[in-house]
Amino acid sequence: MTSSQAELMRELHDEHAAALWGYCVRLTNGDRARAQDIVQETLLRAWRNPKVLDQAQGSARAWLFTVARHLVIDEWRTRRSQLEVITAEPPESTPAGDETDQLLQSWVVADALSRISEEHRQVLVECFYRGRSVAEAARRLDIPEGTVKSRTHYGLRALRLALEEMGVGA
Amino acid sequence: MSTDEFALYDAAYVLGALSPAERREFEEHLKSCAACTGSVGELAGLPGLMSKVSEEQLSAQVEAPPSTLLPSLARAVRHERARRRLAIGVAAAAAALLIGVGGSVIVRPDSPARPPVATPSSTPSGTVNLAMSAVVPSPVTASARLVDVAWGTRIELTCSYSAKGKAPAGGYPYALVVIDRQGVAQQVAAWKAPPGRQLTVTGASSLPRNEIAAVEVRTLSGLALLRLST
Repeated sequence: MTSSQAELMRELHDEHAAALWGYCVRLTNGDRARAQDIVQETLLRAWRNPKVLDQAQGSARAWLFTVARHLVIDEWRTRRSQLEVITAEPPESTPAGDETDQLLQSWVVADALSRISEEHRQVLVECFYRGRSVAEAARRLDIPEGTVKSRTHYGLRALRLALEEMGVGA
Repeated sequence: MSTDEFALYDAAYVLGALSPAERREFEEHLKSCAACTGSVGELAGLPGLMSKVSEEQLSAQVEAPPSTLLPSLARAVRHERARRRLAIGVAAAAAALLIGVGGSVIVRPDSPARPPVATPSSTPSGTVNLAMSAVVPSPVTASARLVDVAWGTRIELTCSYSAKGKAPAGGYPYALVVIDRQGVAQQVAAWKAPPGRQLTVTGASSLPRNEIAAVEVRTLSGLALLRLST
């Protein structure tokens, strides 16, 4: 029992800590001590509530991101209300709800992009993020143009599937 | 359909990667091909979502989580399991007291830990100042007093933090939490403890004193460090 509980936490850490870490560092504006508190509390909540892990991997990840975001917002609100009452100091710059909402979306999309194969990601980066044409991408990746077309065709569908798993409809 | 030479053009089209000539040909083809029109529709929402991520974000060096995270999680798991066992014990003890003395809860002044800053003083409306016992080893010590007031209970906490070790600017953040008889926790104060200093924190709860099962000092991530069970 003891070891399986510890084992569950280790699995949670190995599976999700890296993705959560990047997200929480961004959410806390680079405050790594706070980011670690948030990641720890988020993983503890998942450990207490392992049912959320019994779903597709993407959904579990989306759940964790959302919990982390709520923790940051709650902490920010608590601190702001305490500052108002106790010292009336202006709140420090911490993302408000709308900003963290944007950040959550961008992080979910980035996470989905990290789940598709390297071959698929490469052509999406070239053709979308770097704005290259099929012909240019083909030259840079040293593959035929037809292959670029078919990889974008399958890659974009793989991305759509990964996003759907995370609860994002396109 | 299997011979449709345009069948794989959909994604390059929505990503804007077709050459102008190919785009014109494909758009001409779309007018008469329901299959290709349908697959373009399936993918049309993706560029909008993809634009929420910048290329820098994708190519950013992935930072590994700190190596202290896993040991810290393992500790939290052990503490939480111990706390659950203790919570069951506390509930049983509280129930036993209620039965034994006919409904009134008695605060037992025989707390196992030594009061670090105890100035035991009992008042009719409040408990004596009691040392909080360590839930996990930590450099924090505190004693607490629960005082009945018209609006509920005032919790007066005297807290000190051992001078050893370095602390972040302003000290370590802590929270004072009140737990009711149903086990619901409510944060009533938060502060930062500068090393080597003693400070007094006052929290307010709307719960009457006899509905408070325990008072805890926790880290902001919710790990209980000290507890006083009433």
